[in-house]
Amino acid sequence: MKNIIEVADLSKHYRGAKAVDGVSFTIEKNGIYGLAGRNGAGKSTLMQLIAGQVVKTAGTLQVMDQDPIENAAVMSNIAFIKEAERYPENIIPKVSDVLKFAALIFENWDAEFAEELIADFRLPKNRRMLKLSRGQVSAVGVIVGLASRAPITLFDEPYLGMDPVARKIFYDHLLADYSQHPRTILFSTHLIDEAADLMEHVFVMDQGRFVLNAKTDELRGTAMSIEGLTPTVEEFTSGLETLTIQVIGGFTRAIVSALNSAQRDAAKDLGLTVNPISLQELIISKTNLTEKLETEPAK
Amino acid sequence: MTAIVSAQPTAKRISKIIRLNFLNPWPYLITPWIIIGFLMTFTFVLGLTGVAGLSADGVVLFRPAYFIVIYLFVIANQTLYHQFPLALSYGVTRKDFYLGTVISALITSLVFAIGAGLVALVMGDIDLTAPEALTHQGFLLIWVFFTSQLLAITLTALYLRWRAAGLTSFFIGLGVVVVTLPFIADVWDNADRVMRFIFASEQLLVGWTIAAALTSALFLAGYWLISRAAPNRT
Repeated sequence: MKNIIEVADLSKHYRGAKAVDGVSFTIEKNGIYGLAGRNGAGKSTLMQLIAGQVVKTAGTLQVMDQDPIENAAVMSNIAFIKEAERYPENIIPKVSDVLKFAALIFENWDAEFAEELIADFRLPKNRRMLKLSRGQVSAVGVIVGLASRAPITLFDEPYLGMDPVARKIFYDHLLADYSQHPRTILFSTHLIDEAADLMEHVFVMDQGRFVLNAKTDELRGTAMSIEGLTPTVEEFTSGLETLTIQVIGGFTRAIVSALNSAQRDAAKDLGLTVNPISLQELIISKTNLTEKLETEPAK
Repeated sequence: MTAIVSAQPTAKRISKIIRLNFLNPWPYLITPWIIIGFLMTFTFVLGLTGVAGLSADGVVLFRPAYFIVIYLFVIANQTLYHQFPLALSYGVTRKDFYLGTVISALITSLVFAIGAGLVALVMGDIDLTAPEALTHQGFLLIWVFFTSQLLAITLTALYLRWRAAGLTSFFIGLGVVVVTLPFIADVWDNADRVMRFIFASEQLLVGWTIAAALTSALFLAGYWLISRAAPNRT
């Protein structure tokens, strides 16, 4: 089993709204995959489909070569940590109760690691979940996700409200634990640049579809920014695939698809500045491109 | 490398859900007794009489015990509504969660039926010279506790499946039944006669058959509803 998740033409519609619209991809066993996209792009729904939480409308979805829906053999290998997870106050009121709950369910649960994470995140174990800050509640989710050591771990924007220090602790632990216990991790995020170094592969969704599906390393050099006086930039980019253009007064910054060395030299000769762009900026450009294409199909 | 986990046997998976439901003993096993204790004390202090309820054939039970029915109804509803999304996120199947929760409800029904019986005994409301009626009442109490929880579970499953639209449709349907029932009873001439026929001691089998059918219908409806229920869209 090389691919742990195989998806072909997968769709999920809610009363006409296409949350996921004909998506196809594969995820290999053991790797860290990023899922980016704007709010409402379909990221959470895609993760819910993989976790067997919602039923697909059309297409094929195989997790560990099987349909995940109501399949204990598949679902017992999945941990799905959601952004806005609610913890039932009447059953598991305290942080320690959540950990007991998780320990009962997850076969690979590492209690020692969970304790280490609790200490690093400075979480009060005996405090009621209702009394925790938003960031601390997120930290509880992150701890469960990491200590579960589930072979397929899905993090859906897991760090809502977490401060930069806590997020750094999460990234560090994720990477360190992944190197010790490789597994398949798919996490959605808006903080792409922060998490860019973790992702081996990135998917970008927009309006229910994939607009990008590439290895992170390959992606980094696929676009560049050209900056300079507007007429010069316009002239230079006229024959290039332009992703976005920002005009501020007489100055323009364009993001274009990768340039070869001759093109870069030509730009410099024209007095333009050529810079690499961040992964986040690239993704924003790609997402905007979709909108541009859809609103202006004639171009 | 993280090991792929094989699915555990169904019985073990369901027993885990039961353990999850009783992970915090307060809501299911401690708080109800505090309520009963408070009500008993209150009754003694005020010197109330005639507080017995569910009288039949010489056996009466302490009426405050029936507040537990409402309490268990609410707890069953909360358990399913709040715990279901989390359990699903942690890789529990709907079927396992439902069966585990229903068995948990059955366990609490047994515990509280025994407890309510003991309370009735303390209150002197049990006629130990009528063992047959006592057995009947005991089963009736278990059935009331269990079915009320099952009703809560099924209604919550209905909500999880079809949200407000499902509940609205159900209550409209229930309203229609409630409105038309007196008419049907009138057509039958005497509803009281029908009920007495069903629950008369010589017709216990009929009564219990109807009770079992109702419970089974609720169980199957809940099972069917939860099988395609989904947590809230995020």
